[in-house]
Amino acid sequence: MDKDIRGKVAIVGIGHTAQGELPGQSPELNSVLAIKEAMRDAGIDRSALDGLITCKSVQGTNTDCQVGPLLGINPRYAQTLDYGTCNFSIHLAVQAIVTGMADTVALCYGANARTAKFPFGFTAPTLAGASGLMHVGGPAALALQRYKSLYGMTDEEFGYIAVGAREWARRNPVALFRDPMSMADYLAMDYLIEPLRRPDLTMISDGGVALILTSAERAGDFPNKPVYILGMSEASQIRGEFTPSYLDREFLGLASQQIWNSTGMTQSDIDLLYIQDPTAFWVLQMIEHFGFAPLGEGGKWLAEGHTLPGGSLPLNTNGGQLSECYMWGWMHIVEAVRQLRGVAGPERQVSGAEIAMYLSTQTWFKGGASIISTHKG
Amino acid sequence: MTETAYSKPVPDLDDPAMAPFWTAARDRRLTAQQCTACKSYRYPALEICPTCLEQGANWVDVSQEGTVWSFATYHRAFHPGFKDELPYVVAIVENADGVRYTGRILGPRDGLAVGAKVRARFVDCTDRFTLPAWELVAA
Ligand SMILES: [Zn+2]
Repeated sequence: MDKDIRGKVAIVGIGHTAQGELPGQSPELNSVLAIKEAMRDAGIDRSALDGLITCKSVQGTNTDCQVGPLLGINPRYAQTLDYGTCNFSIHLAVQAIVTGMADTVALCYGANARTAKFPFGFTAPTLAGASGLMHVGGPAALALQRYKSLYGMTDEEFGYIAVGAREWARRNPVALFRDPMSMADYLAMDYLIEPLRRPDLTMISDGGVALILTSAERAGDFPNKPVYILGMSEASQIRGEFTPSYLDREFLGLASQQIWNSTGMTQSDIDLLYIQDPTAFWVLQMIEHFGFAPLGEGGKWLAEGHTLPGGSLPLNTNGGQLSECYMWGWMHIVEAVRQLRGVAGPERQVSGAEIAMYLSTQTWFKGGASIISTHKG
Repeated sequence: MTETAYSKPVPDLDDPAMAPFWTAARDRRLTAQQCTACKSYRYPALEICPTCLEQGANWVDVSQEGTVWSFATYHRAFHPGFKDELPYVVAIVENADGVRYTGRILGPRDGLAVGAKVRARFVDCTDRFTLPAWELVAA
């Protein structure tokens, strides 16, 4: 059986709403507005879509059956993912397209968590909740504290993730946090959940994002340079907290092996790196688990400046969730496509960038990776 | 001490799966489920043993000595009930039987570190709810 998906499916449309506060707009509306933009970018109307994959909002809404009435189509293929983070959504779309279940698929995410005041600080009715473990930063702080104890990373080395995100965001007009933040500024900030500071944690914002994916055969009919999927992989740790040391997320090593083995590529082939960043520590973990730096040396590697503007491996050139907006990583892919098309604008376009990699996780339960490029193979 | 005086989150004491754990905490006992077939421990409760897929299990007393796997120090109260205790420490503790609990570190913090030795300490919070927590053991 031919298992090679390389170059068989392409991203041909990207779209998003304004990011920030969108009062009165539901996740479903934000999804549909983003799909409208993505169709405009792809030069198509709804008649060209025969697939829809939605990603649930943080409240559990934005399902295909909730988006469908607003979008006004009954596509052949419709699905919803619990936590799409764009990677899982892209992978499902590739599977649908290469098996002929759909030809041209819209993918979307919509959120109104900010204006709906979603209670991110809520506590589970458990021992951990009663003990005050709350916020996405709690588990990440536990993981980071252990890492620092084992490997001795300094706050400054770790700070390159948040400081770098802000450096990139300053070059991105979409980004919500664009005020300068030097390393000295970062280090001067108080801890929020020690050893994490506020800039190490995602912001919360409203918005919608959409992509249009189609088969390579059709991709040439679209106005923009197609961005092909060259490789994809996933791994799970669905036993969750029943996995010893689950916060180390070592299972991501399986996704790493699979994507490098199946594509025949190595880390040095990657021109641009995108990592979904609910917390800066999850970024550091993924840098190491996917082999961009040896285990325990990610901090030193970051301090060498690779990921900053002008560096050899720009990271989250949109500013990520730490500084651009909170779209569960979906805007990372929009940015990757813009960079690969060469239309990211003079301030942050990385010249000669041809291959991008996107890494994302559903906390400590699942991880995914995709490699995309304007080249088919 | 009354229910209304306690302003921090109270776990679901009436969840039948976990009720034996909270009842034991009232008696200063730390417990875990133990599979009657393969003797594996598990915490929190599960309906089946993930090691051998047998359903039989009992709640049993486990060691109150443990080691800090890691800890986080909250400098902000995301729940107003913790405001007066800032900064407070939450840790993952592995006890001597290999069971992991996520709970508070109370008392002096000298020597708080990954790998530090701790022992269980029980805090009566309401008439019905006792919080199992941990305190550092002097090295
Ligand atoms: Zn068993």
